[in-house]
Amino acid sequence: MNRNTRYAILIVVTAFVVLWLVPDVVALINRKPDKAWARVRETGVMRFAIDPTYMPFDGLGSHNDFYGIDVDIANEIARRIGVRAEFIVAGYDSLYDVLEVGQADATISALIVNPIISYEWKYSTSYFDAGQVMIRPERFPQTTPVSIAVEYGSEGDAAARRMARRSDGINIVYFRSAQDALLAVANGEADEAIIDGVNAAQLLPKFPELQIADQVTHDPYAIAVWGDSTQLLTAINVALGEMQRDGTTQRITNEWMMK
Amino acid sequence: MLSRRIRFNAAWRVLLIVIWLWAVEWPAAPLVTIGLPQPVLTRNPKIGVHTRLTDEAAAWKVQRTLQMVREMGSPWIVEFFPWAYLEPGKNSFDWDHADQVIDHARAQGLTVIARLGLVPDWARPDPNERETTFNYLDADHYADFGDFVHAFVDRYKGRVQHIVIWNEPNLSFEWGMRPVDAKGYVDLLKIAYRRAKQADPNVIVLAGALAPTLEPIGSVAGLNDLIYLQQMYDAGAKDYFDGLAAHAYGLTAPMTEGPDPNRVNFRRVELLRQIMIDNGDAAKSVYITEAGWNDSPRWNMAVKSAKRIEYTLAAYDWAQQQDWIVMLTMWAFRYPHATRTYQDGWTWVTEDFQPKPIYTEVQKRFTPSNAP
Repeated sequence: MNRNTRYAILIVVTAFVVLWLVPDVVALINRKPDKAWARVRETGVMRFAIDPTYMPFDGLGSHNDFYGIDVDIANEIARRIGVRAEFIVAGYDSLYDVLEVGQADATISALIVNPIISYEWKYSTSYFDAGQVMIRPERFPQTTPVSIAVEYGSEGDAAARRMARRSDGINIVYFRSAQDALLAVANGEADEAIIDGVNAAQLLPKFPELQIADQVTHDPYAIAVWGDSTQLLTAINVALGEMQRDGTTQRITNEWMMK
Repeated sequence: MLSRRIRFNAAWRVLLIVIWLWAVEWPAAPLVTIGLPQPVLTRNPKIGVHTRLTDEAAAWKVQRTLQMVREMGSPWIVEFFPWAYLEPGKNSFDWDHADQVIDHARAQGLTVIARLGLVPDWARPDPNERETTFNYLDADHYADFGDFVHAFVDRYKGRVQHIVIWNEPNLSFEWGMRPVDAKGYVDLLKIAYRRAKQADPNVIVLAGALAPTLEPIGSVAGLNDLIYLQQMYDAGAKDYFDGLAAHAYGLTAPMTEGPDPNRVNFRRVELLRQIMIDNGDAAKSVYITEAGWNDSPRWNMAVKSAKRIEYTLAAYDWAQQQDWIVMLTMWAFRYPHATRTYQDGWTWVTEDFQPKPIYTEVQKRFTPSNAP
């Protein structure tokens, strides 16, 4: 390899590296200060927006006492960051807007991640998946045709109808509630049930012979922050990661689901 | 010899460049064709759904949406045609998207009710002097809206037979974040009506599209639809509309719950009808251009999915029996993108065109068994 060839390779590699780094450098230059994080550090308070109308995730007592899975998770995140959590009631339609105008630092309210708006708002890692799950007996004899129990009209019903359109041998059995669908599987009247993750977490402890066999769809719940709050989001993700690893998130979820 | 070879090479390269440019730049044939006209096979000719095609850019998605509406047995759609998009500059029109929607709808055998509204920047105050919303229109520009209505009706003469003037003017949000003003709305209606009839004497002009609400006089949010409709008659609206557009949301009440002035429920529309009768307007019909129940578990004004299906089927049956109702439209067939909020609890089809159970159940009930 002569000198000119080596120079050419060097130039190409250098150009590639420079082009590779351009977006990061531009982002670094344009990075706006994380006002929410600065405020949290200065005041020692992290303000969570919450719509307290959805138990077991978000509730509000008669003495302005907030409770539920989201409240316990928010309190634990704040504790691990070294600050205190405060809760601000917001209507469901304004859970994102309060972040934009700085009335809250983060929103925790069983928010389903919406990729369409993630260019403006950022999401934490997910702490719960409310998507549809397939429930089967622990000892599941594979039979054909398969009968699937669902709550009539529900998203589980929609998922089962979708499966039936795509494969032969699926018989859908309709029930008035997710609990009735599980009961049918437990009694051997249906082979499987499709219900949502919240119902599954609440009802499965009553049916020890049943288990989640498959995740059919995903509806991940996450915490939202305003797009500039990159340092705050990192702190939340670090705390959430610790909580996932040491079982805190699962413990909080289980406690509320079984109440 | 050498110069001839150079000229030949140059000519050859120019020819290659021309071929390349032709291949790259030549407009591709449309991927979606309108297709042959299709009939809507239905047992209930009053079924309608409100489509949301305004923000749907892909032609195949527009077509697929309208195909699914037809296949469900719905002969009617209501669609929004925003003035701000169609006339971005005074007398400067962009009809491409509207043409696409209307052509596809007609090919699917659907009757389109066009909702007109949304004010372009040029018809609103200078934002440096005063910030206003897209629904703000002051009286100085009512004539501009009239001109737009004339242009729309003239363009779609024989293809779009029904237009709705504005949307929910009894809500402050829909009236430009101002106190609602029935007389102001009637002034706008009069101009729009005259201009529409100049363009096509046969066009049916629908007034109102009133939102069901209990807001009292003086509320900053809006005004009770029953009071507002009476105020419209008091302001002389009677001779300036051919039918009343009404919204009939059930919220948590069953379809069978009777009308009550102190309740927002589906059959509240009967009270609007009574006001029409009281004002000597019984000959006119009502078009329910938005209605429905939401089945999101995240909204406290929603119902269980099974109830949503039950109430919706019952509502379509009920509408079929009412001679004063021309059609019943349910909100909203499909959103271009899922919102991941309770708003998704209104839709009938997912963003990727998967039918929800409510779609399938309506289709089963109202299409003949041999329908495609």
